[in-house]
Amino acid sequence: MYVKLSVRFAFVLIMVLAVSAFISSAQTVPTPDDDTLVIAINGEPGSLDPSQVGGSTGGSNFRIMMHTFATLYELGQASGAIDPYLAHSFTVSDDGTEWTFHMHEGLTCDDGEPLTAEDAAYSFNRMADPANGFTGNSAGFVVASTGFIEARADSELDVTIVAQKPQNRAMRLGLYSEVLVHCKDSYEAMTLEEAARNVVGSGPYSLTEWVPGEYISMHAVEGFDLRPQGFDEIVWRFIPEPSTAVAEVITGNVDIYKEFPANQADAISNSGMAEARFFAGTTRTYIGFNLNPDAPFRVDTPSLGADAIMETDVRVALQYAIDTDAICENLLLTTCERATSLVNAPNNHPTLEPYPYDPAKAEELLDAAGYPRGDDGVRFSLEMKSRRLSGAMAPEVVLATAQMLTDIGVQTEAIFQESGDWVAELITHDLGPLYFGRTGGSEWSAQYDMADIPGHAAGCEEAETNYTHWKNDFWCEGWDTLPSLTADPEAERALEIAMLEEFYRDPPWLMLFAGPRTEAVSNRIEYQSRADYFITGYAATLKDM
Amino acid sequence: MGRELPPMHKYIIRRLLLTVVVILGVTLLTFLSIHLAGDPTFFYVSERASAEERQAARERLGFDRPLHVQYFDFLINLARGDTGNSLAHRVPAFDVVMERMPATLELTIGGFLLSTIVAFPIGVLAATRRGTMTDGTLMLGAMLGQSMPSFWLGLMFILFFGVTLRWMPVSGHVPFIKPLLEGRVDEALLNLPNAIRYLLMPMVAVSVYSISRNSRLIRSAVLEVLRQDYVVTARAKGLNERTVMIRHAIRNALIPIVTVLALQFAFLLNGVIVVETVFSWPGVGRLVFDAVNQRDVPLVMTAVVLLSFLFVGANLIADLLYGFLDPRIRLE
Repeated sequence: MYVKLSVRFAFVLIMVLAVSAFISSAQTVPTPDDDTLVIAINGEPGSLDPSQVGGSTGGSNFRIMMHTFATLYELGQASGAIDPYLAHSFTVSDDGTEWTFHMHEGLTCDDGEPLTAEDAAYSFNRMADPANGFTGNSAGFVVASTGFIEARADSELDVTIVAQKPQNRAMRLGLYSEVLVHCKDSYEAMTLEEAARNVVGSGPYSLTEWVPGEYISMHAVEGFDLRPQGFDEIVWRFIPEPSTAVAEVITGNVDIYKEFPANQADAISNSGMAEARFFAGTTRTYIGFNLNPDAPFRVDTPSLGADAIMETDVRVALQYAIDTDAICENLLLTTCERATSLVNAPNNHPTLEPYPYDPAKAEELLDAAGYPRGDDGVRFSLEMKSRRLSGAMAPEVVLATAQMLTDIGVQTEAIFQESGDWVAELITHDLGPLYFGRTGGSEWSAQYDMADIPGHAAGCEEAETNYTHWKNDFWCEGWDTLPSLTADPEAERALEIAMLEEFYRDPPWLMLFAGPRTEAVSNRIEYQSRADYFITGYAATLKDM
Repeated sequence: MGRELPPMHKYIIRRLLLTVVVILGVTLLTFLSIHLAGDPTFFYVSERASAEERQAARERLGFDRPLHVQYFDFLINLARGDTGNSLAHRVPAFDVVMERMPATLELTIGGFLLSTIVAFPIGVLAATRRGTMTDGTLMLGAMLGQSMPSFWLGLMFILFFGVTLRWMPVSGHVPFIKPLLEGRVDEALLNLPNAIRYLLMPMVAVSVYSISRNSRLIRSAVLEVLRQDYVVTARAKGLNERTVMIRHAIRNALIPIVTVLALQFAFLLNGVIVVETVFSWPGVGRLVFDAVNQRDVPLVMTAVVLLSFLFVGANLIADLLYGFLDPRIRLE
């Protein structure tokens, strides 16, 4: 009887499935068509508030919101470019602290409200207002990095942003380009809770639907001519598992998927549906030497290794131990260029050669530094703290570097921590003695990349993002001097180069590479991949078939 | 003198009171676990935040208070029906969980029904054919099913049915319960075929382990009963085999089975975390997984409370079914 019941159940199920094939009006998961571009991302945004961008509470939201909100200037598609957007030009006060952006006429927000300088000023001030409790990139990074004081509307189309001091022009422009502009009246009428879920945008697309856990869809804004709108609809599907996202690419259900696992490139390319692209990214991968004399691992459990890395000669010697070519080719399945400092190409030092892989030289330098191999073949031991991430931070990459250090007699144990612990120790400069890290970078400003280690004015070794607690007077004084050189770009660049040489000579990082990026792009579209984290879906177009 | 409550009512009230104790225990353990894993404040400040800014954020988020104060505040607010705003979503945590709950229920109920419907005939068939090739094959299949992790199985389904054969959608979800609960019955019915199409692979992936375990359990339970004197007597009386099986054997084997099925529902709720991730299913499991990673304390706590109610509810239903299945069991 039960067998018969099961057969009946199976029959009913098959019938329902068969009927489903003929029902077209039922709801389904959005798929690509001539009018619709589908982009897969792993993380789902928690909030779509334009002031809450990136960080734990934002996740992937900037990628999405740069389609629904515009910025005064924009980090361009071309390498290193920063292009005009809502503003067509800007002027800088003589002392370099006040930047006035001149906006286009006739701009509006999604709800028809005119978009003026008052709205741009409101966007900056709202983002920086501590009462709103915003964190993430805009409030947490742009405000601190630019020394933001306030923004004001000088006229209907001129907005002035006031900062504490002058700054490298590319850096400041790039940072201001990360602030999403939104309309004052619309957002003043909303509570913070409402603003987290409701979007009144200023960009090329307007939000049409947010289905939590599934997708966000947006429609091209009629009459918006500051950016292309290659498709009428863009759908962002949240697919947390990378293998599933790749399967969706292969079956033609997703057009763009950034950061697919490198070992699935062949599956993508061989599918005939999409192209698997590899290119140099901007996220810098490195091993940090924690030099904080008060770090618990140094105070509570002193060790020879923790002391050894305090010496410049030791840190230089360890640079020769890492075969980055082997890591990239064998584990990341691509080639990558070893870094010479914390600055990405094309703004890195123009002539410095990366430390080559030369384990014999590493051993020779360690011997000379007074750390010979012991009877057991070990010079000293170190712990390297890491997280279990993917790509250039994958456990196999961490383990490979630990093994390479062990091979030269520096017995290195990779310790994989829970992400929260890792971040907490990093921020308090207690992570180490070694830590395997990554940090976002740029192609548009050397100083943006150098800002990880700001000068004496910011506390030098105590500065928040100087996670290695590196104390180098030349570097820190140089950083403090840079703002005074903004009017003399040649002198400014010369100082940058000298500072990068100092970083190379007295390295606080074991320099690895700018993490390679991968992107799967459907064969049906034209789309230029970006080296950074962003996906500019609005620029994608259907190929002429 | 008030009228005395019937035993069943007393029993339900006692179980509901016990539920409060269970919820308290679960929330306390969850609360301690999430805080033992580090200060959540670090997830809600910029990397550039100074020590002062971190402290300000800690105070704003309420993490500067002693743990026991935070926990009691949570309980007091819970009693008022307020579980606070999600830190990551910046909206009420209850709303965030509830908008994902229907999808999880679809998967869990679907998996539960499938595992029960499929496991029953397999278990009974294996028991009645004990020692034969059929029994051996079915139990070998069950053993394999129990050995395969749902994560791997899900990916294999995607690869085979989604990518190679293109018979099934790779991932995604079409809602059925949610429009139904919101009174949009027409939409729910219209969605039903597609909802089943999208549900099928995750439902099978989540239930294979249960099917395997349940079929082995049902086989054992039925075998146990078949050895009983009353079954022998029934056969001796000349009853046909179908009557013996349905009236005497299976009904008496149901009590241990129902116990396990109720627990199975809870187990499926746990299992959906992985399957929801593999199939991009927008359920509570995936939400909680993300919330734990983001140390979104209010969201984790809210989800745990709601899921605990489901767990306890499933077990309560099982307890009540005992009395129905076997009148000898009294609820007093």
